[in-house]
Amino acid sequence: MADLRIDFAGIKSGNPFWLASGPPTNTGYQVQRAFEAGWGGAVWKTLGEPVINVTSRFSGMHYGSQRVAGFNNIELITDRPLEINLQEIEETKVNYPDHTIIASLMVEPKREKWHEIVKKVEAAGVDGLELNFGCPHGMAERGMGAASGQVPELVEKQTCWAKEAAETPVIVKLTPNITDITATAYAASQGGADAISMINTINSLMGVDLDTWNTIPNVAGKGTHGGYCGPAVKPIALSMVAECARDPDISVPISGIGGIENWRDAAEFMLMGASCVQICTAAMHHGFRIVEDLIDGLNNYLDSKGIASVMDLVGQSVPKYMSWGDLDLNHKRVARINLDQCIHCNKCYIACEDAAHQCIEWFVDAKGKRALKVREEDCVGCNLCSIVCPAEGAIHMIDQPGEFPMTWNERQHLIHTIGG
Amino acid sequence: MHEHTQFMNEKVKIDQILQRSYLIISIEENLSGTFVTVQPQGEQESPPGTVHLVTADGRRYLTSRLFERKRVHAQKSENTAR
Amino acid sequence: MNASAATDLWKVFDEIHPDLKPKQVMEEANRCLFCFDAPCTKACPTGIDVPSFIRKIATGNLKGSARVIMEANPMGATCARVCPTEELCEGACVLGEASLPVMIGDLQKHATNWAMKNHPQLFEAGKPSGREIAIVGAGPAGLSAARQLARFGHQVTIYEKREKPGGLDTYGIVPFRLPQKVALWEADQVEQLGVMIKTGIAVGRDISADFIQTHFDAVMLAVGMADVPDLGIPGEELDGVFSALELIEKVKDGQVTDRFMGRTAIVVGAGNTAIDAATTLKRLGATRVQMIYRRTESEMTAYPAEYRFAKEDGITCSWLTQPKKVIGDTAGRVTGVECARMRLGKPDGSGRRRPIEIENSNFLLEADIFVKAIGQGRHTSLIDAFRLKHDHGIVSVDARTFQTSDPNVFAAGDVTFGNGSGEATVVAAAQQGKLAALAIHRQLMSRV
Ligand SMILES: Cc1cc2nc3c(=O)[nH]c(=O)nc-3n(C[C@H](O)[C@H](O)[C@H](O)COP(=O)(O)OP(=O)(O)OC[C@H]3O[C@@H](n4cnc5c(N)ncnc54)[C@H](O)[C@@H]3O)c2cc1C
Ligand SMILES: Cc1cc2nc3c(=O)[nH]c(=O)nc-3n(C[C@H](O)[C@H](O)[C@H](O)COP(=O)(O)O)c2cc1C
Ligand code: SF4
Repeated sequence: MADLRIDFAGIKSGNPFWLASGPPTNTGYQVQRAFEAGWGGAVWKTLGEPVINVTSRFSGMHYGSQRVAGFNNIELITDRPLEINLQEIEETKVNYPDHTIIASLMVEPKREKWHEIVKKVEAAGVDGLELNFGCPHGMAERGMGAASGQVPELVEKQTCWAKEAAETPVIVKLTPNITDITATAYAASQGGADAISMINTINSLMGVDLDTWNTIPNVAGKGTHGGYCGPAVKPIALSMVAECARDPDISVPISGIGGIENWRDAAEFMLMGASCVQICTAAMHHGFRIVEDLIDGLNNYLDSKGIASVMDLVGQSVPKYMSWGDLDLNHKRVARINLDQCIHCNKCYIACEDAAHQCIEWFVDAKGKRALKVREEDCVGCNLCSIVCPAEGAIHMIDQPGEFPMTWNERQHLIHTIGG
Repeated sequence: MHEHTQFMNEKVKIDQILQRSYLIISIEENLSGTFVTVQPQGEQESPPGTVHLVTADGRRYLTSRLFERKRVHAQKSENTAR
Repeated sequence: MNASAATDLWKVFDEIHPDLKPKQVMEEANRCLFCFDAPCTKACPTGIDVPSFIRKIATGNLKGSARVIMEANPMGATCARVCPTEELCEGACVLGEASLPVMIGDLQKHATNWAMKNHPQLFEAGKPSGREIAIVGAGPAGLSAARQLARFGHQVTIYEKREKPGGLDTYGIVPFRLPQKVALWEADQVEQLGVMIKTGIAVGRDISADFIQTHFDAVMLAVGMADVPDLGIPGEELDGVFSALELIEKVKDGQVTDRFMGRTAIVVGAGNTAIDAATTLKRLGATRVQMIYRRTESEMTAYPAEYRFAKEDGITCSWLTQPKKVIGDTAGRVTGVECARMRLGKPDGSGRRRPIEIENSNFLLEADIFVKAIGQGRHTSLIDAFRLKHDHGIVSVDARTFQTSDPNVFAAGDVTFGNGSGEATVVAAAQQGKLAALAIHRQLMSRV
């Protein structure tokens, strides 16, 4: 059994799996159920001046017969008074002293407002604070959430104010609705953040009902943009984590959030530099019980790799992530079709023919059956055929013995020196 | 479309440039591809010629060979230095 | 029989195979790989673009899906129910090896059910060409040809002997596999294109072959096959002897009788018709139904799925058994069948091993009902009236154009079926009708 305990910016937690701030962490009842199920920590539903929510609030992006490939919401922060939340936090902390509770906070961008709420929640016994600069809807129209999270100066200033009052570690939760996440991540660390977490939800409109022409979701026939999350956003979240992790100017720990559903996703985020992960949609889709396999699966994975502590996983893949200009232009890989596994759906053929490099060809095999093969010299190794192939093992991408590596950056340099 | 054939033609030209000691005066890249301006060594009077490379593989190959040449030179000078 | 018993009895003739539920439809449709150059399409005799119609189901374009199906196969709703899909499209599905084939038949049923319910206009008649074509027989072959000809703009008149169009789809395939309304809907689709279907008119009886040949620019013969022939054994005139088709036809047309309640029945034959008759008898209340066949299970022509279905109904089979004589009581009612045992010899012309009677092996099977299901006879006299070349009632046609020995007369469907060429199926009849229509169209348009 590997050691799953983590130390995240000084916050010690039994495992790296935390519930992200959202509906699953709305009440003490829920958070206690989650801890009972095995979650290492929970980021409480964002606290602030209680809001009034609309109905309906959520919608799902279903792909084929797969439900909830993506998820969208127009819910705001907590709609319950601070005192009630704090009372429940206290009670939960008493019942589950070894589990991590982080208070997520959102107030108007004023120094005294930050001081006030930080003091109150720390008095309730939280292990840390997460500043929500992320919600893309509703709160942003009131100058909070993403509205302040998109302006590096505001991120820095508000982090500063929270830090002035805070005794526990301060995590800054970043919005992905920005061109370069490292700008706000850097601002947060300049403001004194002990850690950053990402991503919050992405601006989105789920759909339009083709019968009523209403937006999806809609409130009495009217809709607004919401926040997108769930499996579909994982690649976006992962790249943002990776960008921050490889930036030498951003040296605070990262909590990875966005589309994490199972231990594999979690391990990927950790390899890319996250030292803990947060999950919201998957828990909404399947319930708290998913944590059992998150823990079990990660444990078995670490054991199989001979890794003693989950912390040893953190950041291992970061050095492999770089700028395009540092990739090797001389590397060659080609597709190869394994006819033993091929089911003859011919999807690779039409994909390469219509959308790649026209190098998959018909031939007649020894038994007189029509089959496909790759004309390797024209294959650019784009992977398209193997991506569309539905048969496990029918198309392999084969790395060819390469020439000496040469990157774009090296090449440009060479050309310029010759040009003189 | 067999882009590979087109590349093979360019490769022949590139190999010629590199084998027969041509002097590469400049490599210029623009919307039309790569233009390599060369001059036969020791024949300063004859006008420079231009080779136009169109395929990605051709453009990649040219610079790879130049790097190789650089590596060989570096190796040699290291050897002589010893 | 009182009325409520009649409705109860009628229920057992409701379609057995359930429709897919909406969620199953989406799951199944999304399982389709959308193959390129798809083998299922190649395996369909009418060449339905299967991946295309399934994708349209998945995108919620049911009208488009139904159109893709009906375009290739004017009997697409019937075929969704009666095609031997495990031998055709589903048998070719590339997922068959990897996991399970996509339920193509059921998805086809879903899309065509939608069309039956929502009455979209799927096709339109072509610009009038001024040509008139007569079709004899409104079965799958005749209707399919008529639909295509109408789309080319020709005026089509179909002469149909029976009261309703649809051929064996309407009268021959048991209702619990194919409800009559499905066949009638398909016929209605054809009529909506301006095709005139004159029912209750038998060519050769009510109107002559000569009349048709002189009054139309082209003629298509699509009369299928005739009733089950006699076995030529003593006792066939007894009360209690039926032809399978006559039996099924009554049930199909809603005429349910309690004549078979509690009876013991013997069905002679082991093709699809025999199975349909046997399972019908069960539903009509017969307590014991036994099929007898002079060859063995491996030579039977019924599809495996059909045979499984009969076994599930509790129907038994007696192989290597040949009826010799139907036995009756003094009142002329069937009491049993005298049979002989057979053995298999060398393969005969059909490639199957020839049954040979074992001497002195006669034995008696008791039964009140004896049903003949040994295939169908031929409309030889009608074919002669058209003066067409034929081989024992099988009209000779060009394999591509379906033209007969008379250049103005074409023939398609079961009337051309025999001598080992293809299968007598709805889907084959529909395809032949389509091809014949195209050949007729080309021929008429090449004439000035
Ligand atoms: C019991 C049974 C079960 C079957 N099950 C299946 C199955 O599961 N799947 C499958 O694919 N196939 C099945 N078949 C076969 C299928 O029904 C036929 O192959 C198909 O109907 C042939 O179509 P057709 O148009 O050639 O002939 P038919 O359907 O026989 O139509 C011929 C039409 O011509 C009419 N006609 C005949 N003589 C005249 C005349 N002189 N004047 C005017 N009209 C005339 C008839 O009344 C009839 O309407 C089954 C057949 C039977 C008998
Ligand atoms: C319905 C809903 C409500 C949310 N509310 C909050 C919130 O109050 N505060 C916050 O910081 N993030 C909130 N989030 C964002 C999540 O914490 C998380 O950052 C995001 O959903 C991405 O993770 P996931 O893909 O695991 O869901 C909410 C998400 C959802 C779906
Ligand atoms: S890797 Fe790309 S270029 Fe090569 S065969 Fe596959 S689809 Fe074609």
